Amino acid sequence: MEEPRKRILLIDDDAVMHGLVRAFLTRVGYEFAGATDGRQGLELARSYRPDLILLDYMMPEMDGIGVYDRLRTDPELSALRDVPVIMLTARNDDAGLRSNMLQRGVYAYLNKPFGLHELRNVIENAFIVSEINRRNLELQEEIRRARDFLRSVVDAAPVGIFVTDAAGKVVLSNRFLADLFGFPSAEELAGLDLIRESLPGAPRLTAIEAVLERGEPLASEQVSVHAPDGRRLLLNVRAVPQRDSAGRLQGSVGILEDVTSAEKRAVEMTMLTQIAHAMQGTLDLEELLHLILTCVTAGEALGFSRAMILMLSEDETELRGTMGVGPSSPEEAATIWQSLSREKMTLPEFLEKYGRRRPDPGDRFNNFVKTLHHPLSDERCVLARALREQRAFVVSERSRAEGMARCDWLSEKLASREFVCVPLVARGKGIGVVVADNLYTGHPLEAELVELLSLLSNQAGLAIERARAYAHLARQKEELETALGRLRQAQDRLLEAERLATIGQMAAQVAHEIRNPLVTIGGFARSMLEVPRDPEETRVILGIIADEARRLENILNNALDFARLSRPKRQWVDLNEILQLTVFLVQDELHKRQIRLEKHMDLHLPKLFLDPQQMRQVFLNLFYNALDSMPEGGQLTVSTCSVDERQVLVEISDTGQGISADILQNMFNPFFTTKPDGTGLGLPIAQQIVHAHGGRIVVDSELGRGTTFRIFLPIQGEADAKPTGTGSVAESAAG
Amino acid sequence: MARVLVVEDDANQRKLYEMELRRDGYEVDTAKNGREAIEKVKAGGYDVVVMDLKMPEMTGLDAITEIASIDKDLPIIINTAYGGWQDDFKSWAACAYVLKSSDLTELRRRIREAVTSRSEGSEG
Repeated sequence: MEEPRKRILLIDDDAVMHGLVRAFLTRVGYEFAGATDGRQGLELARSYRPDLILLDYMMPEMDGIGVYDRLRTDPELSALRDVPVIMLTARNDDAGLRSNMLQRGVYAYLNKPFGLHELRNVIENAFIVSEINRRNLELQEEIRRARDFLRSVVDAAPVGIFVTDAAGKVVLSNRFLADLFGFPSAEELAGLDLIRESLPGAPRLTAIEAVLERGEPLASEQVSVHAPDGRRLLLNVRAVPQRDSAGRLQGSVGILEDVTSAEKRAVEMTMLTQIAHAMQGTLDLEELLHLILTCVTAGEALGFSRAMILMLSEDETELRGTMGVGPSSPEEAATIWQSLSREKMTLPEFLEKYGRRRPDPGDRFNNFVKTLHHPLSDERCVLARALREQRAFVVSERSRAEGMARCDWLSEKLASREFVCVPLVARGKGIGVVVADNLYTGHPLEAELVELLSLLSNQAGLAIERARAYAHLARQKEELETALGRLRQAQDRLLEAERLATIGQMAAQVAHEIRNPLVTIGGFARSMLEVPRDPEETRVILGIIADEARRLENILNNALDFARLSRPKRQWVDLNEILQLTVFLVQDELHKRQIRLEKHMDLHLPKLFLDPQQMRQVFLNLFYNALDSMPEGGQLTVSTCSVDERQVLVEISDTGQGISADILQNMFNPFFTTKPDGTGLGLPIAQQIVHAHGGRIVVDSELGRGTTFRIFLPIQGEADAKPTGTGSVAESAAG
Repeated sequence: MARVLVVEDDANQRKLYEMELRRDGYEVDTAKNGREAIEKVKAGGYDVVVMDLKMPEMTGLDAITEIASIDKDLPIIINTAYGGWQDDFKSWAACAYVLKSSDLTELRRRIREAVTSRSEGSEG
């Protein structure tokens, strides 16, 4: 699209000039308007809005300079203020006037008379200059805006920002930095030597020194400074070199951060971690409570004067003073602080030394705390509220006066104007409260300290819950152990009863078997003593007696008791398993007598077809023999192995006193015993059972060295396992 | 003369009791087992039964129950080498429980008592 034609206004009293200029300018593409005196010209300019004004210097009434000044200064003509003006002068006007015109901002002047092409050139040049001026102004505005923006950003930054020259003198800084060091504005810092003079209350900033003098690409340091308001601040300084485009060092740029609170938080976190760690170290509830309260009062930790825990009673109706830690008088407090400050311990050391113990029985403050109790139903009491609302409360004179947080009974008992109360929470449920005050130091209970106490109490609540759960578990474990003990005893008794029942049954059987012939023998003998008989009758009676005596012998020979053993109830069994089970039955006894157990089980042993209960009886008998031979302890070795495809071997060895040769000869005879309370039937029965299973049992013993029983049992199929001759003993008739 | 039935599976012991009790003046009859004893009791005429417990075919306890149902007043004395059945309620039908011994004094006393009480009971 074509640019709109530019408008040119001519103000001149010469009518000929008007005609010429109008004709020429319209021909070369301009719009034209004309005025013949200054006043009319200004009037027209306001409505016509020319892009350029040609102004005659010499005019009646108002000359060119007058018109020009109005154009530039009249507020009503402000829209025309930047419109270029070309002054038309007479050739004889002096040079001073011309330069004066240019200084006033006239774009150019033309000497009359001038050629029309000259006019055109000057007009076009004026438009170019005007355009350049306009752009210049825009640029200046842009630059100003950018500078303001930068300034506001730098000032608004929440860190101190500085730029120094190569000597370390401040070239630029911001409000944050000024505020930090108590300067009224950033400009006041200009020229300050950050390396040598440094900032007020701060040491010299070696980071800048490192960058400027040693050429380090990045340097940082932490410095501790006293702020003008007396606070101690921890600042983090970071500086980098500033170079020009040629790489020459111009100075340094850096920031300065206030890390005081971050550092404090880090220290607190470390402390809480150390406390949490210490709390994990104990599962004893009393010890734990003492540790918690020690943390609350330790100078290295929270540093309260006194602290106490009130736990919720089991029926959840009242809070009861459980433990307190703290001095009971200002003198005691002073003594404790003095001795502690001499020791100079870290928190973990301190907790290790003072935390993990229970309070002395004579501890006055602890004893005082234990007398405290208050019903939970007192809804105004801040302790109950802390527990219910699960948040901390500070009770102060102000809070009491305003009725915000009150706990009059406790305030009175503590004789403390101000104290804090935080809940102990475990799994979302309040279980107690921690109360602490600064009675002896008088330090205010600042929000930060209260928050710290709340954090500590959160951990404490969990630790208490854990200790309680542990105590509960310990109780359960004890109960279980007692139950297990009782069960073991019952099992032992049962086992003993089974043994005695077997023996008793056999003994009764033996008694019966023997009593019958004895009755006959004795009865006839008495009868003969009482009444003399004829020889024939005597012969008959003696025959009966001899008969019965033979019968007695038979009874013994047939080993009446184990002849009563029932026929084996066979099934396919794992011999190792039976041995394991039997070993289990004597395990306690082994332990009691300090006998080591050695097992060598052949895991590839084939299954055997035998009566598991009877085999258990065999092994049990042999184990008891072994145990009895080792009253001073020793070693019991149980092993199994396959001898060949036809039989397996069980070996039971002890390191006991051994068996002498004459006893070895008789040990399998019924009723033969060397024990005061023995029945003499254990080994005969064992042998009988092994025989009934088609096996054999042999014994090997050396006095003072020990005894080994070897039991060979056949590997056989079900078909082979039909009762053999040995089994028929069980069928002997009873009388 | 009082009649005694001795029930005993052991032949030699039967001989002993027969001989000794006759000497005491009783009329003695014997049975080898419970079944035989019941048959004899059914036939009647005994004043007292001496009963062994452990016998083939029918044990003494079963025999006692049976006898009690035939003649509830007939005194039965258990005479056994085995103490184990003393607590069996079937044995309570007997009037005495004697542990077998070569010394027959106890057995004799019990028989005498039984016979006496029976004769008194029948008189009264």
